[in-house]
Amino acid sequence: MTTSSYLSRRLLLTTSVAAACTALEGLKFPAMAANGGKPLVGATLLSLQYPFLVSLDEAMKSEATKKGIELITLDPRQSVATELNQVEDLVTRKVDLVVMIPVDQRTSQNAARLVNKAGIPLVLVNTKFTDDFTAKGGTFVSYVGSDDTQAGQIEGQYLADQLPHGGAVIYLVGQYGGASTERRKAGFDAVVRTRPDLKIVTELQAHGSRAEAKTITENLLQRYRRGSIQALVAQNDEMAIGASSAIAAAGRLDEFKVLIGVDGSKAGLDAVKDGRMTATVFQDAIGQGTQAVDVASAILSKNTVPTEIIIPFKLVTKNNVASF
Amino acid sequence: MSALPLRDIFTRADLGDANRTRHVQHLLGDYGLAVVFIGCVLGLSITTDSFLTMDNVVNIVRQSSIIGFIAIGMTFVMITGGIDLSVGSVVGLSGVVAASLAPDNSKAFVLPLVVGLAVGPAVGFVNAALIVRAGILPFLATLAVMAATRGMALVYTNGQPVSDLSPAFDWLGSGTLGPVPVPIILFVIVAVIADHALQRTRFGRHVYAVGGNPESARIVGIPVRGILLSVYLIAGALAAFAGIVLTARVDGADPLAGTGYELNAIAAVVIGGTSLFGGVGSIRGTVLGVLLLGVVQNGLDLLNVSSYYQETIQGLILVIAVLLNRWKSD
Repeated sequence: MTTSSYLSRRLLLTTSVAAACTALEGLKFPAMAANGGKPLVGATLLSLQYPFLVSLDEAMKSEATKKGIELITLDPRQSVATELNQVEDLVTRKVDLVVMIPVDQRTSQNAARLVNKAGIPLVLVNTKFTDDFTAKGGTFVSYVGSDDTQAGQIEGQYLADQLPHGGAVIYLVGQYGGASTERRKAGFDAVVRTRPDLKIVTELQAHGSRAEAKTITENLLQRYRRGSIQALVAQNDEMAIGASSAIAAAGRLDEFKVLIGVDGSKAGLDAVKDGRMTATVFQDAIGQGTQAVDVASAILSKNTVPTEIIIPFKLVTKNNVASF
Repeated sequence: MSALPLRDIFTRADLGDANRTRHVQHLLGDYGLAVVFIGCVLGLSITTDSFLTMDNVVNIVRQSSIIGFIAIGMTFVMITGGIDLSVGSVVGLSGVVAASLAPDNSKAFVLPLVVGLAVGPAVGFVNAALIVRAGILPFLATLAVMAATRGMALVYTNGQPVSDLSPAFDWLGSGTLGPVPVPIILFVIVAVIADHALQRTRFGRHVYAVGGNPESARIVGIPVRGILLSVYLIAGALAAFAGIVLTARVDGADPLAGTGYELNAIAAVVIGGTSLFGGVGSIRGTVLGVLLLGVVQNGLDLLNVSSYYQETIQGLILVIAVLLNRWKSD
């Protein structure tokens, strides 16, 4: 290509953009008029690949409609960099409040500080920052979420109750270093430690993925022959379902007295209903999403709100699954 | 009554139509990308009240700069007819290496920058060795290196993110020089140097020649192997630089950072008119491609478009750009 064609192309581009900019400067509407006077709330929601967060997103949207809030929800796809970009965009757009489900409890603090700096109120949902956030001057108005330690405790207690004479247990975790992984593990370990007859024979990361859990479990079933394992505990439903399908394919579902996950996602509840899982720990996505918007609405109408709203986990078994 | 036989009239009419069609196609091919870009800018300026603000434009360019560095390096590689899939992993590895050398309570700046940056050419050298020495296809060689490099980033950090870095180092990603964010300044500098190198130097002409026809390039005495080595070193270095700026921007490094960035960079380069078969391409086109993707991403966010649709729309834009490029006049 010739230089002159480059030059003319570039010239065309620059002049057109410049012309467009000047022409449009006059066309802009003030923010409130464009929103019809509704308050504008922006949310970044970790990753909309997870059924749990999709339900939470839907609950937020329907509650926002009820409360007369215009809500923008964004999907950072589990990338701190994308999350930072999106928060920048929200701040630029001058939203009235930001809701974050942080991607990472440490590195996402950078994005939160941007919100602080712009003087926009911040509500955290589902995942808290590490304590040094507030120590370094970061602020958030309210946290809405569940305590993952409790989910681990419920799993541990269920395991202990179901295996009164002890047994061998496979434990599938999400990702080490992740806040929910570490807390669920801490809660679970605390209960299991009191029962030396419960042996965790294998603990592996399956990164919360159904496919990865299935592969891992297929391999583990080769190692542990029939009769040598009594329970499989997974840190979420997706992994429990993946593990269960591997166990079912090997025709060994009857060996497992306990096959439990966490979340109570639709797929998880279905699996409890038809016996592919023995139990799940229900994390209330709809409760968290609804509460998040309620708190946002209260903050925007200058009401005082609690700094922490904890929505409890609940054990779901075949006996009570119908009510979820 | 015309004296021409009917057959001739038809032939001429056909020819005229064909010429006109080709003319329109060339216009679209040559200016299409600019037209699409301006169309997006105009459309978003009208439909959202926050798109055409200084803050937002700054956001777009700053956010685009990361993929921008990678895409500029990728342009060199793709003009030679190669491809570098390892760049996303280099972002991850250089990020964690630099981050580990820039702890919060230090004044570290030069050391993390230099060592983090060195990761890039090191990986680039391995790519080039596999391609030039071992004769492995660039796609396969860099695919293997992509996996190995990602693995190294995970091993180096034991899978954990590294956070809280020295303020001096963070300046590279979060600081400003006057009113202008540092990543934007760095992006402009890198783009200008790369454009100059490609358009105005003998090295640049050699890069095009190797991509156009490596055999004749070798016959006229161009050091083909040397040129191939340099483009992979450049791609690696710029990917490492992207990793450093990204790490400084988010004040932390994740061994999985940059996953999939190679595909974004390739998309930007292709949208910018570089041919996958080599010999054709430009830094200016790539920069426009990067900015177009940035504008579209930002615009879709501002318009509150669900992320599921966003990816579909980005795919469509890539297809349109490739079709337009096919009609370029040369």
